[in-house]
Amino acid sequence: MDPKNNRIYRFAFWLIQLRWLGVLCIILVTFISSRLLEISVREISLYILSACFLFLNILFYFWLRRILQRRDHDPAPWLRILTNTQIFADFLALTVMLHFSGGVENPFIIYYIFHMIMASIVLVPRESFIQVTLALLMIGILSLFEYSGILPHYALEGFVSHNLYQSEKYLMATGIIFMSTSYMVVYITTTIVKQSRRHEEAYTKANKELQIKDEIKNEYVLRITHDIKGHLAVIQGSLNVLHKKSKGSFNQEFMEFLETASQRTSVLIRFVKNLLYLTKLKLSNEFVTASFSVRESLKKVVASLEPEAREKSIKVSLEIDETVNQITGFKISIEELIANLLGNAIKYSEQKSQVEVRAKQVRDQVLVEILDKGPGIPSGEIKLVFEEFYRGSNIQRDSEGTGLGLAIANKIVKTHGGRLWVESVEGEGSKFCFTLPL
Amino acid sequence: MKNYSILIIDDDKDLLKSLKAILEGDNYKVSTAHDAKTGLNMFNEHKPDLLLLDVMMDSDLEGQRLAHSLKSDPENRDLPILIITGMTDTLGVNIRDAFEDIEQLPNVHMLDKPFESDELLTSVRQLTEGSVIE
Repeated sequence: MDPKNNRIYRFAFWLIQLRWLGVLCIILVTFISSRLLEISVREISLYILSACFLFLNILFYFWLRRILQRRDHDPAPWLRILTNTQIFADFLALTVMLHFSGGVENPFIIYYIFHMIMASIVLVPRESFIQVTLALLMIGILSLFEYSGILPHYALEGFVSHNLYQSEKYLMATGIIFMSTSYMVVYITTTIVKQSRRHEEAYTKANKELQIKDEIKNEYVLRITHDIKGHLAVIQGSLNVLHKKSKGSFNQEFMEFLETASQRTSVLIRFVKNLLYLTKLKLSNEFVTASFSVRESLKKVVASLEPEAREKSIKVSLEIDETVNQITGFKISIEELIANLLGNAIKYSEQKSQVEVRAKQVRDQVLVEILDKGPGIPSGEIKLVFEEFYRGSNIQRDSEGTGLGLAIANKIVKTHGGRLWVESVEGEGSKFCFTLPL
Repeated sequence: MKNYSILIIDDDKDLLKSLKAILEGDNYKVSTAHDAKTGLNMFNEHKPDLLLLDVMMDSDLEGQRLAHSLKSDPENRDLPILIITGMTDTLGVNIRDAFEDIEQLPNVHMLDKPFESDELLTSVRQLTEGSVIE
């Protein structure tokens, strides 16, 4: 596994990032307290501390890089050592910082709690409790040493007026509250983190199972497709042969039945192919996209449907704005989409009528409109036209449609991040529009 | 016009029969085999002008393997092969990959099952007339 995917790596890196910010904050707060608020902090000492802290963080940064570069050992235990060292160093730096800025009297003492939360997120519970105990020891020793005079106390003059560091009651109460709060925080955080890790594991497991099921399903679709298509190929092949060989030898009724069987087989084949195509679109949800000229695709599709239009004496006009050209998408699907909509427009238009295809650029999208003078769609059914197996109630129930064409068109547009809609007045015609991102 | 010879290899005997009848109806000389092994023997014996091959036979992708091994022989480099398959538009990603490299070979066409007899004849015509230099 790439060590960069490792959770502890992310935390080790995250801590280093936070520390750059931490150093900056110490410098800023020191400057503001000392120069603007005129509080007596040991400015120089704190700047030196910041510099040391900065240097330490640079060391941590290179240590992390070195762990990642060495491929001859497992990085995980080293990352844990690094993270523990980082947290320990943070507590130590915080304690030194407090010493130079009022000790227990400094409200920044609260920052231990933040660090404890971070430690509990990053480390395993046992390590978190050890780190917190060490931190409490550090602050306890600092308070004790300042109280007993072993270490000097740098009072925050101009901020805290009482010598709290010498009040036994204050030290005792603060110590107890601080200690209980610390352990409670660590306990609560580690519990939450444990739960969230459990959920994450369950989620990963479920995801893996889904992937396996998906593979089984794909295999299943593949098998069924192969088998259905195999049978259909034989039926169609046999009918083709029969049709060719029986010409003129049988009566009209026989030929009519044969014709019906051939026709229905063709419809069934188209239906199966459409259904599989739709299933594929639904399941894969991703295309191999490339940049191509939608202008050329529009021209190509219009030319390919010219014979159908000519048969019904329909004039197909194509109007493309100069700005419309390259888009990014799956060319074959987009051409199928255009052919699908234009094919419908020609199919449902009156003889000798006109079908218009227009394309223009609207902001960062291409808008294509296909207008026909067909029977239109009853207003109550407009919402249903893109549903699978929908067939308009006002069109003749021929045997050719599969009721899947518009569902496929809609899926293609959606997969490309576009939108497909229809405006229609029953008896007057329809306008199918779709947008595709450039 | 030359009477081109075609060898069809497919494990579906009914499809073999109808394909044979369609192609014979268009004056091709057709021989058939229902597995890859017999097909290979017949190929070596008859040296047909075109091979019509099903991808999925007794074992998956047997046809694809046969096409590859035939094409790797320099003698058959220009041999026209028409591959018929019922799986080009399904989700089998591995199958698609397998097709991708086979479609790169010279004189190889693919036809998705099921197909109209006219589509078959057009593909066969393109392959035979486009590749054999009289």
